[in-house]
Formats: sequence, structure tokens, C-alpha cells
Amino acid sequence: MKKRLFSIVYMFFLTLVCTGALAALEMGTRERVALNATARLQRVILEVLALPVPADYSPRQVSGLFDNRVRQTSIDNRKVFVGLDEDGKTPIGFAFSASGPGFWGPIYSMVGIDADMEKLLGLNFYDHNETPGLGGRITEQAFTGQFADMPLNGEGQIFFSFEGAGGKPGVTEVDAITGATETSVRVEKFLNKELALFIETLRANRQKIVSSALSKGDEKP
Amino acid sequence: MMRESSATILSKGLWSDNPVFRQILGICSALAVTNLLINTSIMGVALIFVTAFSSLTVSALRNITPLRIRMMVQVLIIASYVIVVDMALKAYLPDISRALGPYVGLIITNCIIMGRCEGYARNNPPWPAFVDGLANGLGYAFVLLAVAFVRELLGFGSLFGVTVLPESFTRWTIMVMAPAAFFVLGTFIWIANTYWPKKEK
Repeated sequence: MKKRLFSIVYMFFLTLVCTGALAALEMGTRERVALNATARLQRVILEVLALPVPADYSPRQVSGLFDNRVRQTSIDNRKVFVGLDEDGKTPIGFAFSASGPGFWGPIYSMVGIDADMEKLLGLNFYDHNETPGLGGRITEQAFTGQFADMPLNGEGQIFFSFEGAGGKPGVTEVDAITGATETSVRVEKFLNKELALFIETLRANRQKIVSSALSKGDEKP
Repeated sequence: MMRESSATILSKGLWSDNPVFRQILGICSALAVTNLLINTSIMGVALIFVTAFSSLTVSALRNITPLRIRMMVQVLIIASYVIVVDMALKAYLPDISRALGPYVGLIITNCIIMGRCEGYARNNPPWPAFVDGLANGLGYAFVLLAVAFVRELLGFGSLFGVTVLPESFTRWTIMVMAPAAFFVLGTFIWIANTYWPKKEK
């Protein structure tokens, strides 16, 4: 009986020590972990707005730059990030998130369009579960760089069509990723659909978005 | 029983009783994290840290831990160290932490660690237990790095992210996928067993 009681007391105290130590460590790193996650997304937003972020910027510096140049607002319950000129008053572009199914799981992209909503500024993927080295290469500069400066004209247009590497060149053709057919097909599909829907909404509400972004200062995503 | 020297313990963990290719333990993560050398290295370091310190702690508590609850105690200790590693990666190496995904947390279920705690640490003093944990972690890391070396070289044409093979070299797509780890690891075990057969006791 005594042995059993000792087992219980021993386990209780050992658990207390372990969880106590972990809780303390969690408190110590929580802020840093949160900042890492925020800064990662902020870096993607800045980059798709064609506001380059130096590679050696620390999370804190990225956040600082973001606070200076980007304002957040929303339309139809979706977040819109408004990129501002250095003076902090003139909009230079709009960024929003678009997502859809990938091969292994959902893919989340951040899309930046210019202030006149006539061309893309940039596009990147910030969360996905695609195979590293194959579909996972959608985040590489060689792939995402192709979206910069692409024109967005006309209604119901097909924004992108993916071609095999070295396919016919054209303003809205993108070289797909060799060996990642499934990922490419799905990305093409959801981007074309999401962009067509949301850019229309943005165009219809441009004035509202700009004024609400400029009126409220410093909300963070 | 004569006590083994630290050198013997090390050589056992690294080679003659290597957890991965002699005992075929812990191969789930060996399949998942071996397509890039950089990820593999961090995973190896994480595992070395967890095996070494879990063995040390289990050994330090071996005389007061009641026998009947020793498994619970071991799991608690291992889990604590794994969470420490996970938090450290999230705070200081967020990119690697994302690349390794759930596999850091899954170190808890790696049979090598529990195996060393149960098979060695609970019957031996702290220092040899620590060396034993270290040796087995190193043995695991060494085999994984060998597998990752082959997979990254043939699959991406690079080593530690630096391209070493010319563009004209056709990348072996299969090497990037999980099944390739089976082929490479299988070949590794085959070679090891052919040229350095395990001595019969």
C-alpha cells in the first residue's frame, strides 16, 4: 500500500517539475515564436507588393518595415493589405490571400496587384504541403518571379495558363514545374478562379478600401 | 559485470549495434526527413540531444523510480525533452521547424530512445547512460545522413543546398519521394550485412 502511494506521489511531483519547466520555457519563447510567424507572413506580403525585404532582416525589422508601408483593411470579410508609398499616403498596390486545394493539402497564396488594378505586382505561396523538391518548388523565385508584372485585363479572362518548361511564350503563360503536374494543374485552377472573383470585388470597392486603409493606422494581421 | 568503457559504448552505438541498420529501429523518421541533408542534420542533432539527456535523466532517477511505473516516467521525461527541442526550433530556426513539420514531435515515439532508456539507462549509472544515449543518437544521425547524402545528390543534384552536379545530369525524381529512403536504406543494410556480418554470440 505504501509503495503504491509513493508511486502516485512520485509521478505527481515528477510531472509537476517537467510541466513547470516546459511552461516556463514556453513563456520565455512565446513572444519570439509569435513574432517569427507574424514576420514570415509580413515578409510575403511586402514582397508581393514589390517592396523588397533584405534577406538578412530580422523578424523585428520586417515588422517595422511592414508597419511603415502597409495598412490592413477588409472587404467582404476578407483581409486586404494596402501597400503605401514612402510618404505613407499614396497607395502603390493591394495584396490579398487566395487559397485552394493542392495535391496533398490546401495551398495558400498571397497575391499583389498594382494601385490601378491592371497588373500583378507579385505572387507567392506561404503555406502548403506539396512534396519537397517537386510541388514544393512553387515557392521558388524561378517560379513565383514569372507572375510579376503580368497584365490583368478584361472580364472573365483566364489569368494564367501553365505551360511545360520552354513552352510558347506569352504575357500570361507561366512555365509549370516539371514533375509536379498535379500541383501545377491545381494551382492554375484555383488561382484563375479566385483571382477572377476577388479582383472584381476589389475593383468595385477600390475607393472604399483606400479610404478605410488610410483612416485607420496600425492594425496588424 | 565489468563496466564497458565510453569508447566501447560509442563504437557499439555507431556501428556494431547501430540502432538503424543493425536493430532496424526508428526508421519511420529515417524515411521522412532524409531528402535534404540540412533537415537531416537538424533532426539528427535533435535526436542526439533527446536520447542523451533522456538516458541521463532516467539513469539519475533509476534508484528511486518505482519499477511498476517506470515506463510512464520514461515517456514523461522523453516527451519533455522533445518539447524543449520543438520550442527551440520554433523560436530560433522557424524555417527548419516548418520543413521538419510533425517529425520533431514524433521523436517521442522513436523506439531508439525508449529502447535505450529501458535497455540500458535504467540499469546503469548516469555517465555511461549519457554516453550510450549519445552514441545511439550519433548512430542514427550517421545512417540518416548517409541516406540523405544519396537522396539529395541524385534527387536534387546538390549537397546541403549547394548544387554540385551539372544541369545536364537528369535528376532522379524518385529520390525526392519517400519510397527512395526504403531503397537507399535497404541497400545500406544489405552492404553492411554482406561485408561486416554481425558476429554470432
